[in-house]
Amino acid sequence: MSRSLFLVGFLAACDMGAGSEDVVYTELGEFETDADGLVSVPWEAPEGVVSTEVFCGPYGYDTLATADFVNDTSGAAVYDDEAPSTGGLRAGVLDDMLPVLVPVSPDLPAAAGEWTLGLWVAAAALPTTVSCGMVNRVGDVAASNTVDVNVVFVGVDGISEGMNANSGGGDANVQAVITALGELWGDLGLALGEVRYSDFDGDVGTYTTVDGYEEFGDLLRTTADDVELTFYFVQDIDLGDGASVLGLSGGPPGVAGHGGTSKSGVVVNVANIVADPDQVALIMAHEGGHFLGLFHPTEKDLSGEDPLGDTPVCSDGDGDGALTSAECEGSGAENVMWPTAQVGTATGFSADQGWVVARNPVVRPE
Amino acid sequence: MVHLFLLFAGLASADERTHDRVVELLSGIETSPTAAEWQAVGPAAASELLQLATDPAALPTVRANAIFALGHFPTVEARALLVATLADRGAPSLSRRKAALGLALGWGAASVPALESVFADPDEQVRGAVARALSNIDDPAAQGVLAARAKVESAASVQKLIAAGVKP
Repeated sequence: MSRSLFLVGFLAACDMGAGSEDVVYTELGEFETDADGLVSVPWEAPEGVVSTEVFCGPYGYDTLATADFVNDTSGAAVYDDEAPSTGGLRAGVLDDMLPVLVPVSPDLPAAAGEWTLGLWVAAAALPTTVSCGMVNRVGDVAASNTVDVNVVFVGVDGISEGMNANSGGGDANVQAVITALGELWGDLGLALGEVRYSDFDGDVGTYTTVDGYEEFGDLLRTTADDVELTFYFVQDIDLGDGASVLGLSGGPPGVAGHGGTSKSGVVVNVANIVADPDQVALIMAHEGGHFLGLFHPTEKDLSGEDPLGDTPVCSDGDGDGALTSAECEGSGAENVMWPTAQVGTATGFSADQGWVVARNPVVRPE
Repeated sequence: MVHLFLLFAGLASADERTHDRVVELLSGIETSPTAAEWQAVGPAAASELLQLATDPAALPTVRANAIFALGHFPTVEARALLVATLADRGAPSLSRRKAALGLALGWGAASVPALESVFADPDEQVRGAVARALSNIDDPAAQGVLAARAKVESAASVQKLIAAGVKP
């Protein structure tokens, strides 16, 4: 199958601002797919690279895309869509924008040189054009690390009066959540740095309850261009079927250190914050983990596993084609990245998970 | 006597398993249960959902998801609970919104009068959920209610949902 490369432009690189001189966003320009929806996107990781992320889009919410392949700096294939759950890399099948982050496993560390993403866009009309960018982090890596967090309140003061920028830091429920989040992430060797609070200044009426992936993506597009992790607190998230889910992350992984994309943050349903702030903290730790490059240890529908060697793999003991938390006790359900909210049970991370998070572009050595 | 004890122990264990399975389905972080998953649990799920939907100790999202999921088990008791929850301005907004969507899921056109009765509710989020619920009902009566509300609705977010639901 032919893979045509149409590099239209290579535009400016920009530093991310004070305190983030080791994280650089570079616009790669526009790329046109061939008639099969395929295009090769080369991107360059600099000397001293700690992590490198490429992302392409937007191609809209009615279109899905994934990585057909990823080649490392030697030209060797390190990801193959034919076997997406093997090797040291993972790529989603995502609407609107596809990020690919290296590393998401100690088995495939970032390295300086030219990498190549083989992007496959399943658009209705082909060929189509996507814009791509990359973020590179260079510098040191440490065992203890920090991440700055921005909490954006989206019409949630109806749940707890103090959930607004004026009193965000002083609201008892919010404080309980932030304290519990710090404890959960402490197991990753990750401490909370600056925690900022702001009120959403867009269409609060629409985004107070996030209905469907398009609203989710549009909300994340409002994320500022800072090296931090942005959490949007909303009253509800409904993916369109009527039921509530508890949180969603851009990606995974999220587009780290670059705002304005549909994968630039995390949305958290805080309906339970008064009854159980620890659960909201667990959701933030889990979704934030996705944003930072972590996956579910085992998918409950058995569709895949994370690329890490030290997270337990749960097997389908009763052979019904699906996993439950009870079935996975001792084999994944205790991990914070387990896909069901289990406060008090899911409390830990693995060493490899800490290794991955320590290298994310929005994380810095303490 | 021993056999009777074992029988009751087995039933209790089955009840516990159903309860745990239902709570787990209602507690997915990024996923919500499908109709097939509810069918796999079986009819015992309906009584668990009724119990959870009215359990003040259950988390708000678990309660609300139980209310919505009752739409998969359209019994008389379930309908009564959903209609009452939707109409109750003292109930949590989240529960009322899920009641609207659950009614549309389980009872379709028969739920239009209940939905119409709260379409002027002061809670903008409830009106939005009613607009979505009516949009999910393939019936001229639902379309008529949406069209009528479009003429007087003041909130832009609800207007947007109504516009998305009105078929040309």
